[in-house]
Amino acid sequence: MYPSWTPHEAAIIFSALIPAFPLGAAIVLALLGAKWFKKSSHVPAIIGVSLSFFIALKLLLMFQFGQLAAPNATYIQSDLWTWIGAGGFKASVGIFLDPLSCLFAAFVTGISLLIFIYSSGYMEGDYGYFRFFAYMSLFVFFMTTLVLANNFLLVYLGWEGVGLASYLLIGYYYPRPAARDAATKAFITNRVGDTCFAIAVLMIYLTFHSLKFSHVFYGSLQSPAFRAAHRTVLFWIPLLLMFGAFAKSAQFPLHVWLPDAMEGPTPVSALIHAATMVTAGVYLIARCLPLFLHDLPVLHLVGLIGCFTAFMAATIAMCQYDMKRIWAYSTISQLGYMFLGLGVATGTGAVFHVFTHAFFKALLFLATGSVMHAMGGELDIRKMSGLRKKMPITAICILMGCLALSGFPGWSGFFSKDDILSAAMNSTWRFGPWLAVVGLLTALITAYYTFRVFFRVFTGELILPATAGQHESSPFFPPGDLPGGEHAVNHGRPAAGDAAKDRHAPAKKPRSLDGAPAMWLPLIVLAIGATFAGYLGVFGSHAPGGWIGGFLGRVPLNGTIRYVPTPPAGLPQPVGGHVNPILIMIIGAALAVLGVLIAAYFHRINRQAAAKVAVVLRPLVHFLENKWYIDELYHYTLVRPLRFSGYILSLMDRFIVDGLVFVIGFIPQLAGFTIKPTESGRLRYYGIGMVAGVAVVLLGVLYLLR
Amino acid sequence: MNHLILPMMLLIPALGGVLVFMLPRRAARTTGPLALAISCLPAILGIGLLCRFHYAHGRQWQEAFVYNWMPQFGVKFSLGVDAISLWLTMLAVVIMPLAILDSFDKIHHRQNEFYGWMLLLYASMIGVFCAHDVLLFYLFFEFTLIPTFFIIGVWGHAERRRAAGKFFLYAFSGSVLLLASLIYLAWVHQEKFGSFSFSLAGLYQAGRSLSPWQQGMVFLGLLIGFAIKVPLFPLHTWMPLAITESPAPGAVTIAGFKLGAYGLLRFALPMLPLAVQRFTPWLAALCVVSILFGGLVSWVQHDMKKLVAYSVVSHLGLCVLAILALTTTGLIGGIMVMINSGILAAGLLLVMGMIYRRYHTRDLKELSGLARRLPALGFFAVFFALGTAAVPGLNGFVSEILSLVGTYVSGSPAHGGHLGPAYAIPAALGMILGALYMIYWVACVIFGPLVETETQGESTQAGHPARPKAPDLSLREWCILTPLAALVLVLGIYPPPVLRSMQPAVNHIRSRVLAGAASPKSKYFFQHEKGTKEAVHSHQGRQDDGKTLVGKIRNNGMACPDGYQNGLVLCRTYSCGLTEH
Repeated sequence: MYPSWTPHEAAIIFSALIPAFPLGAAIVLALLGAKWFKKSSHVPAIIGVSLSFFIALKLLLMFQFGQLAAPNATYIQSDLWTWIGAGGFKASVGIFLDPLSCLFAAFVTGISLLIFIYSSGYMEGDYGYFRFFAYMSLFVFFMTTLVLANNFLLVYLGWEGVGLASYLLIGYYYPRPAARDAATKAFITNRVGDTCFAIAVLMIYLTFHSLKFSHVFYGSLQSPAFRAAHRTVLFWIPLLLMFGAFAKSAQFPLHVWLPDAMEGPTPVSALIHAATMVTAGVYLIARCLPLFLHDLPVLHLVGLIGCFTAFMAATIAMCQYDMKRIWAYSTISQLGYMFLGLGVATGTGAVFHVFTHAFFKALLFLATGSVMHAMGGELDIRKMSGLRKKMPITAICILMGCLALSGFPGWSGFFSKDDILSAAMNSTWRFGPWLAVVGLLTALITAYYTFRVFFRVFTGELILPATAGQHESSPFFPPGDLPGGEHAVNHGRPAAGDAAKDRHAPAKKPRSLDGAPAMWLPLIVLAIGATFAGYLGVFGSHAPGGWIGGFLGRVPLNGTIRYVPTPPAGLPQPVGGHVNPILIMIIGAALAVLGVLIAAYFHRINRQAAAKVAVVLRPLVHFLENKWYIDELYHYTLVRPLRFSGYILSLMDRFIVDGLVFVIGFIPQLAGFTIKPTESGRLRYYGIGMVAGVAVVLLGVLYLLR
Repeated sequence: MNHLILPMMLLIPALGGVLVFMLPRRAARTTGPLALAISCLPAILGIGLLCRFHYAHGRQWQEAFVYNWMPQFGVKFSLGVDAISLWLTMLAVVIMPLAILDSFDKIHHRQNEFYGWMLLLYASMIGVFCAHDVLLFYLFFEFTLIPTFFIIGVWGHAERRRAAGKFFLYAFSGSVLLLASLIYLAWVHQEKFGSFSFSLAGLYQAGRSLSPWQQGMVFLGLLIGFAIKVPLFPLHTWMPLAITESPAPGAVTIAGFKLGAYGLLRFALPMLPLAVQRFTPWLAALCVVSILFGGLVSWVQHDMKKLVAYSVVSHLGLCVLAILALTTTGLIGGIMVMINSGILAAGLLLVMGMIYRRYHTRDLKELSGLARRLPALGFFAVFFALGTAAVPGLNGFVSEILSLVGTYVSGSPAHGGHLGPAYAIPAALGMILGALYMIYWVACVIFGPLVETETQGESTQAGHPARPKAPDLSLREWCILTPLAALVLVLGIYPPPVLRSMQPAVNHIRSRVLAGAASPKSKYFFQHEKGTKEAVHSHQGRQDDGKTLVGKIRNNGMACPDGYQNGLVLCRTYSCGLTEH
């Protein structure tokens, strides 16, 4: 099939095409979209991403069947060309292929494909349709670059690139101030993490003299002498990488951007802010686990913060009313689980949870998008009820998603969450079991808030918001602005104006509100995934962890991605006994069911009771509704002081720095002024001056010659 | 053997400028296109230069042209390019025609003079980057002041006179010190080697023969001259004013060409290696202050052009920091900052000029949501803003990461230099600030609900509420912005040809500095201390008295520092762990 290439070369070249196709689609749409693909922008985008998906799938199968396994290494990597090279510093564009990157590439492109298909229905007729698909394709390009890169700088390119795409897509409805502010917040918060990442890259370069994974992970890091010599820097590198990962994956100190990011179109929330981009942090730490395993305190910090974030975000999600925001906090919470998994060194468990989470969270967001579409942009769960009757397909799909998210036994979230929790319970780290306990408590809360949404919105008597059935008003055509002259301004794009008019025209009342097939077909595929993806982590291989465990078990990251076998000397030895995973599974299942039952009581059977409880717990609810006041905290401790110092410096610049130079410039003039009166023309003053001058000179000379 | 390509690149705009000057006022409409045509000729020659250049010998001065101008003073009219000069010349050749093209709708009176000054400025920019003789460099360097002064003062905005005056005073007072230092060096050359010389090699020799103390003084003179031009932190205040008050094409020439940083790299560093070593920590600290200060101040500006001006201050802090790091990566990074920041600042300023042309305001608070009205302009604005915020894949990132890497590894045994993480990490925080002010600007002006000022375009019928709508980019404006955007992208995706070609030239400079600094066995810092009769010299742990020390210095072949006779010398010795790389 590949006459002159070895399978390795073929794999490298083909995998280079994975990012290339979406990039091509993005370029085509950017250049020609406004003219040629005005109404069919989804076509190049879908073609691009589906080609990528098939290549990624092919690579996955090649790994699965061992066609790419070299005898002594299970990764293959190659540089394609030099990107930046100066002095000894060199960063290439290159590919790193191993089961981990293949799995990520496959699920990223696969989920993207489904979401692209969904978007072709959801975004239809929107102003700037081509812009949407151009940005989305750009995102897939950067994301696949991120997971396939073979060195840290190229990962950084993908890292910032996905942030950029996220920025552009959150700000897609840029005339809306909320969207603009959310986009800005996302970019800046991510930039804080990115800067940490960049500093880590500098440190890696100075320490390892290379940025390549193959060099960093398999080179001198293996030697104890080297590690002892670079003890400090080997502490800072993982720590900074951790902050980079926390910004992108919205973990505790840097999570504030993600809920606001819901201002973007819903498919964006599904793809970028739930399924793929936010898991980049998990990918990064899983990839760099060899670095982390040599500094366990940092790894444990990852687990600790992950656990805390999972708990915090879950509590906030209990008291939000906007469906998308609930899912956003849920995403933060689930990402916290993944970091908890990484913290107890179960890379497989974390990646498994990334995988299942991608299905059910994308499903939940897309189904929410369908609700939003049908309800004319309304998302407040207090304003709608009983939608099951109007949107049967959506309701069933979202039920599957809710079951998976709440960890209901049998659905995918159950298996992956359980993997992480049992690893934590059996961790060699002293606090591992405590984290597992908090994780189990969070699982209860998760089940509650998930089904709170489901029971509120989809069951009970039918209540529709006033806007139901209408199209959301476009921020690009605010009523009253641009009176009638839109066609005159937008020569050559009357279609946008037409579309806008269509949007305002009363739509025909369809029988079901599920939307176009392009919208509900992907939902069904995702629902199947959300239901059954978990079994990939149970069956399919003899290794622990099922097919996923077996597949990723070959990732040769010291062979320790799965577990730290024994902690290095000097660190706390294992405490506690071995807890049977089955027991944790049963506890987890019981808690999930309990959560669902509580939700059912308060939000299905007796909705008045929920209101009464909320009155009793008023301060707590306030605290949670305001998201633990973290936004306010940042505003008053960071943003305000920084901006204030900017003003102060600006004033300093104007009056002190400039003034000082002005004063220096003024000295000659001043000297002139002081001397001027002496030029009086009176001879005796000149005489006195002469005598004084001679005296001074004499004194000076005497002083020097003393 | 003289090559004529460089003198032609210099002469065509110079003579063209004079020609345009002499055109009658009646021909005002044709001056613009004529100036554009003239300015394109050096660009064509520049393509020839690019083709003829031997990239493998990037450190050598190529396409040399030498004319013995004033033999009695050793002044030669000598031009030439090495790889560094080549790319900076190319930058001038690209940006100046675009700036002239941009002036067409901005300059409405005294056109012939304006275009004349622009062309003369063009010629002197090329001269600065190609001059191989120090006095010639100084002449061109100094001559750039005059056109800029008139461009700001005659065609500028409301406060143009103050801005022009301040600009001129600052730059001129710096230049006087610069000239004094250079003449002193030439005189030293005559004293020590028998003849006046202003050639680069001659002054390198002269500078390095000086004692550390003398080097320090000369360096300070050069430094103040160049630092004003760069501009570095406490001496930068002329720049925001000058950029704000000059018309967009003038602002582009001020922000686009980093003459000061170039001078520092080409002249101050290799001539005075010991002084460089002495001053590096202080200067680098100033650079870090520049980076952070410029970023924070930029963020709170209400005037768009001021925002860019302070961002340029911030970028140049990084540029000089990377140059001072004296690692190959850092030097290349610093030069790339000159090029990339020039392109990006030019792009942003041109975009802002186009916005100003439409709305007659530069205030962030008065405009919002322009992407809705002007999608193409909005695209370019966001594009250049992202480049400035150092998003990888665009050129700003390449220079930023190279500079940071260069600074970070500086000081490690394998890389040489005197800086290190203590400077690189605060400098890296500049990345956050870069995103902060650029994204803030985009959020204020390009995104958000559409808010426009009253456009003063064609008036509508009386009583008609609909205001005239600002048009999106014209073909001419597309032609201005597209080449810049293409450069931003190309230099961001595939910079290796530029980087690789600069490596030998940069290493040449680097080895001069490091060799100059390492040639005496130790490096001595002298401080005059009145009242003490003893000198403390800790040399390999031993305490020597002053006389022994002076003898040692003499034996090492170094010139004696002034004032040592009093024996009031305090010396600190450092071992020089410098390695040639």
